[in-house]
Amino acid sequence: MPEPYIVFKVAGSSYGVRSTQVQQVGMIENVTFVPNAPAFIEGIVYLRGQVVPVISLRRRFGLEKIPYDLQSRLVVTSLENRVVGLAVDSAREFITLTEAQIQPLPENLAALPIEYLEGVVSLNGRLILLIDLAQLLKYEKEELLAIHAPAEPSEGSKE
Amino acid sequence: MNDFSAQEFIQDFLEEAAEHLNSAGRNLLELERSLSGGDAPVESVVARIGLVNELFRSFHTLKGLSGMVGLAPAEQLSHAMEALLRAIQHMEIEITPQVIDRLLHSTQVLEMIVAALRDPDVGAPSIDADLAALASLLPGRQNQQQAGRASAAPAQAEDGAAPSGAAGVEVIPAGAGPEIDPLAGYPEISTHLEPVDRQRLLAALAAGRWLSLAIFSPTPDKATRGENVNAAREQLSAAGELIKAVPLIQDASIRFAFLVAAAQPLDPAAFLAMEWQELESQPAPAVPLPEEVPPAQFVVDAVEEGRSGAGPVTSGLGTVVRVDLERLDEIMRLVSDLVVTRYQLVELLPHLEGAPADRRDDMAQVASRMERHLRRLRQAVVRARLVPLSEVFSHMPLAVRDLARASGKELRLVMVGQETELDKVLVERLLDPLLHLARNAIAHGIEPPETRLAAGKSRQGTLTLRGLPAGDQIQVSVSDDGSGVDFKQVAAQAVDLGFLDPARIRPGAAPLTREEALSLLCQPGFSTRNEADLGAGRGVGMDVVLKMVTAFGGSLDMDTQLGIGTTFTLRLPVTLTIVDALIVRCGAERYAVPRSSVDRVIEIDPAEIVHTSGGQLYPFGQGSLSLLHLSDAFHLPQTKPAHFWYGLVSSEGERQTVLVVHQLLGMREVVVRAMRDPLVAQPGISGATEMGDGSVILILDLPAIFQFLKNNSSRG
Repeated sequence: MPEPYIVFKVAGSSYGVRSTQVQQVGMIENVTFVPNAPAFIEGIVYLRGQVVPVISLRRRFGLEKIPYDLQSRLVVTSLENRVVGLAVDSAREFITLTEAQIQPLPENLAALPIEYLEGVVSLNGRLILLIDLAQLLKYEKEELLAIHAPAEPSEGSKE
Repeated sequence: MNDFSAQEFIQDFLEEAAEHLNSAGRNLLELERSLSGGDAPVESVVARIGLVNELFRSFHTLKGLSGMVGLAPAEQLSHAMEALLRAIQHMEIEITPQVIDRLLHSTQVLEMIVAALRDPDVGAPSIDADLAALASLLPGRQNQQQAGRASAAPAQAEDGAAPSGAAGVEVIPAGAGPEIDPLAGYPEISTHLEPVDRQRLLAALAAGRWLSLAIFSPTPDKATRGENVNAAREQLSAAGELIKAVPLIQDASIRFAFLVAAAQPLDPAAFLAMEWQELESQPAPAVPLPEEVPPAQFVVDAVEEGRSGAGPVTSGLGTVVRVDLERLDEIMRLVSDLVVTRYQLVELLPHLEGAPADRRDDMAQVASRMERHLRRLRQAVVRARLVPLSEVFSHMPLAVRDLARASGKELRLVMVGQETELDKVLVERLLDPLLHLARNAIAHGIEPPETRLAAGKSRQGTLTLRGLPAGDQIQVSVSDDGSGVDFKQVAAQAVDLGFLDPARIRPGAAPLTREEALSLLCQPGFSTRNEADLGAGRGVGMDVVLKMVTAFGGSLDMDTQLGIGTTFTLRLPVTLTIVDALIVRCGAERYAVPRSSVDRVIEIDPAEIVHTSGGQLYPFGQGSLSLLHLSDAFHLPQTKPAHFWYGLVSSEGERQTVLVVHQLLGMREVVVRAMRDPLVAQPGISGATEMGDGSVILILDLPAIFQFLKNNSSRG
């Protein structure tokens, strides 16, 4: 069964995420800074009656952040009741893939965020990395607790 | 009229009547409060007039409404109350605590009559007692309600003191004792006398002169003959000493009463046609002082934004449309259906492969727009169901007042955060639990006045109802500063009732955990006192509270300290919460702080801040406040202030600590949106709200921020 995917770009690489997991794609605007949040969180936006956290994928992938431009997009994903936005460099493509086209991750993909990927596709000579959304949106409880913990004065308190 | 429309008619009546009775109850309590308070005379008089007028209109309307649905007892009782209020309006009788008591009682009887109409299983009370009581308060009747004044005995055969042949002369015989007020039967005149008038009255009596009351009623006929009030006045002034002239307004007509003192009895025939009354002219030693009015045992402090506390409450029938909840539910279902239909459309879009790309794009855009519209529509319907907490809080003062009176305790009710809005269904279901909690607090929490004094507390106990938004939940708490819940007692009772295995009780000071104690209290049938005690034991009704809270997917908490007090907190999830919030700036960011969590805002002059090793102090009043900076909680840069900063004093916990922000931008209503995703959710932030210009700001949880900063106070 062919499945639709939305393709976006981050730092020159192309990534695909299942359409069914994408609520909408739009401009990145009115992002409100949220204090005491993980470093890859840009902040929150308010969309369709909901507060949506925004993850900077560049940061999430350990890359350098660049200023947003007219190409930048917010890919709003939804997974099991959670709605989270992904800030990407651009998002313009809409493709359909079959199971057969999806290949497992090769071993030697250095400098790529393999923990967030679930497969690759080669399309017209181009490599599209398929996102494992559950992994991408996962948060480490301990990580978050360390940020919020009120008990000890933390040395990392000043950003 | 067929059955259907009769039913609707009655339904309308029930709703309207409830509104009017509700606002009447509030106004009466307001009136009572204005009598006991230390208001400045001018404002309170003006406010009282407004309240009385508002009350008159309420019962006048209720009379009409009751007549239309054929509810005779309600019509009669409303009529009697209307008459009493009219007498008050015309200053024919004074507003005293007894009058208000009577009006409050009759209001409750009316409420019961209306309730009986709604639910035939409930019996309606008889109105006879109230009718008699109201009638006895009307002017001109015996048993004057003016406390302390001797009532005028029924007119008896005169003993020759009156001039003969004078029509309509009523002689008031010597009263039983020395304390006689010549104007005892004429409160409408009496209330108009200034102290200087009274002096003259007494002087006249002491000199043994005759007092008469001449009442002139102007008519067009008389006017054509030159018989007018000025002429009457001139005549009377010539014949004796005119002590006072008082206009009497009744039923849109006016009459003038002249109080005259003369050396001998005046012959009515010598004057223009007037009604004459001879007044008791025995030397009256003194005009007795009114009885000491006991201070009101009960004071309501509705802490509300924007209400001065001295104004009348209107039913607000002008800008409000009452909508059946069922109709809203139906609209909601229709919207949900639309949402599903839109999805069906979206599903079809990819199948339009054959259509040109731009056509498909257009359709996708339309589908997307539809979704936006639908979401807004859905929100609008949800919003239509929201009502402020005041709808349920407003029933509390009356109930609490009765409970306080019955229990002999002295009590002060404070209500905070009434503007917080929640779904109507929730509001309706909140009343019962709140009443149970209030009843428990009054019956068992708050101690009797003597006990409180002995314990070093104030005579008056305080019962606080608080509504606070908490993300997409709302927190409603009932607090008392009473004796607290004794876990040992609870444990003992639980063992007696067989709810608890004695082996489970922990030795030492804490036999039970808070959760265990609360869970026991919520067992049906639990009580730590005999039923012989008024009302409920601490346990009775708690199961009702828990049931309601659980039914709505919420939670119940208890916080208690022996000797200090108890707070029960209900947390209820709601779809939307709307609160008044202060908008503040800290650094480059704006934040919203719920109004109900802020007790006060003070100006901070940074030059006055004292930096110590223990933190920052700010001299204030007799002492000093410790400062905590919001910028520290959020790691924001501390900007150099223009002239000063602002300090927010939390309404919970100690008042000695103040949170410093940089700027106050104003106050506005905000819709609280939950921030639940773990990536951004954190203590200290209870949600976010959109400002209408597309921007979104965070809503602060002030108590949590205070906690966080205090725990981290080694910095700073």
